[in-house]
Amino acid sequence: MKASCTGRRGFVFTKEIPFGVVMLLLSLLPSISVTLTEAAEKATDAALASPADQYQAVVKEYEAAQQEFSKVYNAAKTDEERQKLSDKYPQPKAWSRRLLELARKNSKDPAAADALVWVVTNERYGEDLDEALELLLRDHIQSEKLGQAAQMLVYSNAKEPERALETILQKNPHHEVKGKATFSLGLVNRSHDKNAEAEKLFEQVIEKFGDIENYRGTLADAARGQLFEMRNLAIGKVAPEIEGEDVDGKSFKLSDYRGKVVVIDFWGDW
Amino acid sequence: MYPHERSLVKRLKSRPFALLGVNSDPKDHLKQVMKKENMTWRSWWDGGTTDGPIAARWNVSGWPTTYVLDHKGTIRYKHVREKAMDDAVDALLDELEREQSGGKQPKN
Repeated sequence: MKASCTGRRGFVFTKEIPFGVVMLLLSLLPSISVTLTEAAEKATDAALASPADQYQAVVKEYEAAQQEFSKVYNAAKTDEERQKLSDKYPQPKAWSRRLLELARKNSKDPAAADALVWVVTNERYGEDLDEALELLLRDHIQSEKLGQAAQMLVYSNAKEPERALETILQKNPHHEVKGKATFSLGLVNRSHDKNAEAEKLFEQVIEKFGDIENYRGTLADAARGQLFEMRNLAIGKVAPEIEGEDVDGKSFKLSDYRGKVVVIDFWGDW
Repeated sequence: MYPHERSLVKRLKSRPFALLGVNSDPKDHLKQVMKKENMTWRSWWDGGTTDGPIAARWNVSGWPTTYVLDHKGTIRYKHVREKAMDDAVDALLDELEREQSGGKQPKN
């Protein structure tokens, strides 16, 4: 009895009340506990039948944990308290494991792709990230949801991001996914100083995938920014002019400082 | 970062050096923080957002981002902070002073 109760606990989260009521009845009426256990399990299974619902439940649970953390963190009064709390930030690991399990069990369901994209988005490195990526490439290579995974591969420490991105480019039919994968592959190449290859990919993004929305502006804007940076802001290039106003509205230019060693610091007080 | 920048600017007060900021805060906030932190160096005010025209042109996607330029305006270092920034600036100041004193130095 007890084992079956705790064993299922993780799955019951969203249906806490009905399950709780059933468990209460069980404790009151031990003589019919077998029947009721079956009923409870059936009810739980039915309620959680859809992998999409299960995915939503896990994600909501993680978001609630994050919100709870923020609440406590923001209420902290001293730096010392905040320092102590920072170790308690809800690491995504436990949730990733549950989503991986969900994806393994429902490999054909589109919700599995959501679950795996979540893992790839939230895990920065390690075996869960690697497994999630493998499963995405194996079971969901044609999914329209791979765009976000392609973007995240630039910033994670996944094994062989180039291979994953090239596989997506070869096999995924969706315009948006291909565009994001092309741009990401450009960034990965750039980070490995493969500049000629990176420039070619950014040119391709502008030509074929420029319309796709990105974090800020479109993919074309982002690719033009990369090309500008590579061509004009590399070490050894003369810095482009900066002209603007200071906080009092007085104009000044970078070239006013020619003849001096200059540090340019892009900063914000946050 | 402010204490480090303050001490860098103070240490190099009489040398041919300038620290220039490009700031993404709202104007009122920038005014306050410059006063509070006793910032003697100038910043361009970039429109109050991280999408400002200067940051966009320089393709900045993370803050802080730093560039170190030599006296000819050539980019010589990127993304240096704290001691690495000091070392970069000192090396370029040495280079400039060697050049001004007429000594030939190897191009690198």
